[in-house]
Amino acid sequence: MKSLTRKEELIMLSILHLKKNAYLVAIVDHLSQTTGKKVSLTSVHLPLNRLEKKGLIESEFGEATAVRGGRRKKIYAITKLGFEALEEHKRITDFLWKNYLKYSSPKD
Amino acid sequence: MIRRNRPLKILEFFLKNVIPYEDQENLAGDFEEMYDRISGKSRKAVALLWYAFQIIKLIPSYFKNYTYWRLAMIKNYLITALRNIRRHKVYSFINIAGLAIGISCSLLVILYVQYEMSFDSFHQKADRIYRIVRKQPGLKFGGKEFAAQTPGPLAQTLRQEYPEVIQATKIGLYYTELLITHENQSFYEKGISADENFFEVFSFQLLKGNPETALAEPSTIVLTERLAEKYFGTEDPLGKTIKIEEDRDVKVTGIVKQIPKNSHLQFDYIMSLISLKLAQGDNNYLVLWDAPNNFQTYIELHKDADHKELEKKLPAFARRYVGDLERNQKRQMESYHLQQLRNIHLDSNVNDAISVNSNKSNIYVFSIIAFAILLIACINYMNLTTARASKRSKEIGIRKVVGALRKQLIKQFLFESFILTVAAFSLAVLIVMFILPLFNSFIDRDITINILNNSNIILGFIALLLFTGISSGLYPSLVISSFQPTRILRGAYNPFSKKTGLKNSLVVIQFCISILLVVGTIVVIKQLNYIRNRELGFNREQILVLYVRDNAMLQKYPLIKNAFLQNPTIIGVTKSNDLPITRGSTGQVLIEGKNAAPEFEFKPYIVYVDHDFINVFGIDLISGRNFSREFANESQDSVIINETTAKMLGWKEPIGKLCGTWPAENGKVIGVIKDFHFHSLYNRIEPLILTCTPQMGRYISVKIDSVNYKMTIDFIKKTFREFGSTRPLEYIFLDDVFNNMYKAEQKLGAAFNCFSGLALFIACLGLFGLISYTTEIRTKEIGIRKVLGASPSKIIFLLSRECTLNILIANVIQNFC
Repeated sequence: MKSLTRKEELIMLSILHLKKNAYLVAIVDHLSQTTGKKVSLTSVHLPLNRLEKKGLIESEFGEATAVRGGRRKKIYAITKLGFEALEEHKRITDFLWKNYLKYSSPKD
Repeated sequence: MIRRNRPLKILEFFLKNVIPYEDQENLAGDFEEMYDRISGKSRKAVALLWYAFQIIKLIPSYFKNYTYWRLAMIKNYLITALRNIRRHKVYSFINIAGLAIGISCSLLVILYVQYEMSFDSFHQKADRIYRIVRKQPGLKFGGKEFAAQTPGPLAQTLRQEYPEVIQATKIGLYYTELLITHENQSFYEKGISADENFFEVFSFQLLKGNPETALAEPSTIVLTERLAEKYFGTEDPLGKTIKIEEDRDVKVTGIVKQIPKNSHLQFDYIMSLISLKLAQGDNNYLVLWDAPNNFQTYIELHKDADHKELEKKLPAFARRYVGDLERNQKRQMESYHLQQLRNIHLDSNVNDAISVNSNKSNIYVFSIIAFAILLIACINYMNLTTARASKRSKEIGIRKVVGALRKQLIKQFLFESFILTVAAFSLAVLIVMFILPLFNSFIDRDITINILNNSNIILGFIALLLFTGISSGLYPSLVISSFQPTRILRGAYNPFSKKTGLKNSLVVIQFCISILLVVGTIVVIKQLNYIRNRELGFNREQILVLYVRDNAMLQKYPLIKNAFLQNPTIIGVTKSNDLPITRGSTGQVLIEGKNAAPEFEFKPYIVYVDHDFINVFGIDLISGRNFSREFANESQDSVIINETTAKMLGWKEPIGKLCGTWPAENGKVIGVIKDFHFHSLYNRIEPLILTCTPQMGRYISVKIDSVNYKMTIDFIKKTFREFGSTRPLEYIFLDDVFNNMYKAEQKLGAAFNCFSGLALFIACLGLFGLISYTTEIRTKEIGIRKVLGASPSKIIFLLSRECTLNILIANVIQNFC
């Protein structure tokens, strides 16, 4: 299994957080709020497409709103494969972080 | 309702187009939501900028996507197209062969046109070089008003008087044919004579010798590579002497590179024009305005000079230099005009002795014919493809069901026609390469197919490819893509069973074109036959013409004539300065009671003949008598005129009237001959005067009464040698002279023959394809008819009815044209 990038990890976690409202603009909003940085649409859209191609997330069309010019939203959700990838990712990250804590423990 | 901001419609449109199809809806929505939010927070311009920037950011990925899918589709189209070509070999062959023939005709014509337009453009200063032509009002010599012959001093005078004329050179109509002798070799060669500025104006490349001095001295000559090799082999000819006309030594001062065939000046040597001074002394034709206009003048203008400005100054110039002469001779004012060097070949229509020019109508005719043939081939493709579309209707149905847009189907079928066109094009290039040497020898050019250094030809080829591909593929693709998938897939539906109108009318057009070409061929052939069989008014058969340059031999003419007449196969001998069918020359005449009138302008053609001219050429004498040896003073006293002269002068009884011309300045008309064609049949018969001057003229015409020409020619050669001639004998049959005059027509006839044959072939090929296809789909119908008792002849009638009808209609339309 291919490892996730930082961006992909953040996006997948945002999708989990947003649940049924996980569409592009919402994900971008969520990311920029949590990181405190400006996030552009395209920088999220491309990883989303990539993840979908890999089968880690799936999408379906949601409801349309007036503010979108009557266009439907594309709602993303994590697949089973996606969860596995996230868990794998978390396992590796946790393991590495554990070591990190060991080495950078308070200076005596 | 919530008031919300929407981006500009036009931007929205752009955005929609750059987003990949599958993401279109949601992404456009996302962008609009963002836009709305930004425009809520800050000014509208910022939001708009943001929106536009998003579009720009999407463009690279758009192109990536675009090419990816495009390539995928093209691969699929290619596979289907190739499969179709392979599966239906006969139809593919008909299409490709027809297109290949059509394209190769067009390719040849493109090469030909390009070559004809390239005449003289190899000169570096071609754009600035002009030829001076002289207009002779009222004097239409051989049907043309302009002449390229100008007076000798013109070139230098123009250069001195007008600063914009940087350089000028003249080419003399002297030494145009010379007997060149070196060691044991002796041949007649054709060339020109030119002054020392020749190589400065023209860019003929001197391989050896100094271009500035090569033609500056009398008795010097510049040879072409070919002649140098012919006479000197591997030796260096520079500085060596050769003998001309058996009596003069001239020094070789230069070797010029072989003259390209797309030069209007063609020569094998250039004699220095100043050599004329040796023959004529200081007061020669080079410095006299009042002399035969035997020079062609070329000037080179300054880069910034306007040739029209210069042309405006020329009438005054002409008045200054030749005005007096013209008043004295009671001639109308001549005028000078400029003619661009590059236009000489196609656009000159002047009298001159040096170049043989073509004209634009040839180019138009061949372009139109090639286009017509290509059109026939394209129609073949259109008809066959649309007719056979039902075979592919399932494929199209499936494609549509799977989601192909009409646009995509059109693209697919255009692509297919392009594949066929490219195949045909490659085949055509091969055909052209194969046929080009033949074509070259036919039209006497050296066209090559090196497209690399000629952007015009490349453009022409590309245009041809596009035109053929689109014109043959567009209609089928439009029709095929309009199928209704539901009706196709339900089965047993032939979308073309009823739409035969257009197909039939296209076939009619094809045959109209073919028949038109055949009619053209018949016209040309009839014309040729007419020319061949036309009574010219004199006898041109079994007459051998000798051209004698050797003055010593001419003086012995009476003796030679007697010797000839000893031979039983020779029944007549005459000498003249012109043949009845060469162009001849005009002169001034003194006419009884007419010359006082100032507006009287009458310039008949004058031929200097001996007593037997009328007998040998079998010209009918209407009234009066022939020149006779019984009268001692015949050459001073008598002239013979033709009917046209009498008619133009209004003479009912011409015999005895005064009609004076040199040498019979006070000559009286002693006879009237029947009009005969002494020009090309395209010109009307002009007035003609014969004078009895046996001392003039270099043509000896011998009437032979024998089947065995060879023996008689051998006898003539032997007799000449016995009288002391050392030169090769120059002879030609009058019939050949005549046929050479109509070479252009003969070639046109052959070309028409060839083209109309090709057109018919392609059209029939197409018809064959159509009929065999309709027969194929009507197999069941025919089977049933046969079972029910139809006879084979009925079935043949049934199948051929439609196409016969089409051809009949084409014929009828032709008849009305």
